[in-house]
Amino acid sequence: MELYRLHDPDVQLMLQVREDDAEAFEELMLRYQSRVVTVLEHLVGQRDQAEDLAQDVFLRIYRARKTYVPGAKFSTWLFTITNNVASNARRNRARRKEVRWEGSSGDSTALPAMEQLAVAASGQMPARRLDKKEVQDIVRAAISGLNERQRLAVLLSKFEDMSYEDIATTMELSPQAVKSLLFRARENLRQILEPYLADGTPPGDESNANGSAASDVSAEAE
Amino acid sequence: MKANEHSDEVAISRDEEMLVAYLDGKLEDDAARELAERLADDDALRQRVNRLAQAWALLDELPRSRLDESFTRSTIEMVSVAAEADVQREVASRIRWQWLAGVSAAAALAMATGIGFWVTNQIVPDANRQLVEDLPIVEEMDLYQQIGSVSFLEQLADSEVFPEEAGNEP
Repeated sequence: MELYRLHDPDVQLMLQVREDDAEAFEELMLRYQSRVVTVLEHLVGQRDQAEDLAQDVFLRIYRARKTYVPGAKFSTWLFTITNNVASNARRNRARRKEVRWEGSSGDSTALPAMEQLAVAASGQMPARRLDKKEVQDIVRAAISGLNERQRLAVLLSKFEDMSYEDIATTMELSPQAVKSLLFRARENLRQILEPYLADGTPPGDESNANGSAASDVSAEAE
Repeated sequence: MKANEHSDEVAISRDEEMLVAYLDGKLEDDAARELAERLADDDALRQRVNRLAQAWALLDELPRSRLDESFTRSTIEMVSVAAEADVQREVASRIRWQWLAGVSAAAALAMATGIGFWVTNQIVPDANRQLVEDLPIVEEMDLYQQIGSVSFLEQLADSEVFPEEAGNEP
């Protein structure tokens, strides 16, 4: 515990927040708000919702300040809360969707992730050098093709540069399980992005052409 | 596989672990040399490792969210409002508990007073009680003194000549 207190400046800020230091809280927000929203945006798929959930994350942190004990790096604690908030949001959304589906037989807007991938990758695009926006769309869709846990592990590893141990703490898994999860996520990303990596073809073209590696990945990811 | 373990958490093979460590730059020297030799000989493996690295690197293309000051401001306002509501709730709760504690203390005090009074009444002799019991005799004292003999009065009471008064006799 003392280790984190001494070496993590964000832990020290949070300890000041515990003593009702509003400026310390604002400083923590400024340091983390964009990172939290980035992760949430990829987890829930919508910017507006990601911002709402990020506010919920910071509210929870503020409310938990009096009981805060530095048992891990601050970022690990923060993203554990972020993960819980995102999980609750997904559960609520799934519940609402269930209710909606009970009421109506078809929902044309609720495409499975891999169909979204195909749409984003636009099967109608010719094989050509894609601009930055198109590449971003392909990569974003590839990430959304992963299952939720693989996606979170990838986001924490890639965007937050977290160690296996910290990801394990955040996701309440063993480091070995995180290693496995990340390897399978990398494999799935490789398979989804293979057409693009091979010759710049958007994945949608490939899936249309030969029975879709994407659907294999989707099944494997689940 | 453990009951609550997902399929994608099941341990990967030694080779796959080595690939992950290689891709993350965490492979020890000996293992790195071993893998380098295999990569030199195995085109398919080399291709796979390259693709894994390229796919991973592509994630850098994703834009990071950028938030302006209004997000910070609105979040801090929201937190302030919530914190104020929390304080009010806490104060209301404390007042409720204080009121309950006060009422409980008053009730306990009243009960203790009642019990104390009753116990005291039972244990400590009451000087007036004997006087009250003897009141009928005191009232007729002049008459009894005229008769002059207590033993005669007792015989009179035992004889049941005056049964209705007998019950009232001391």
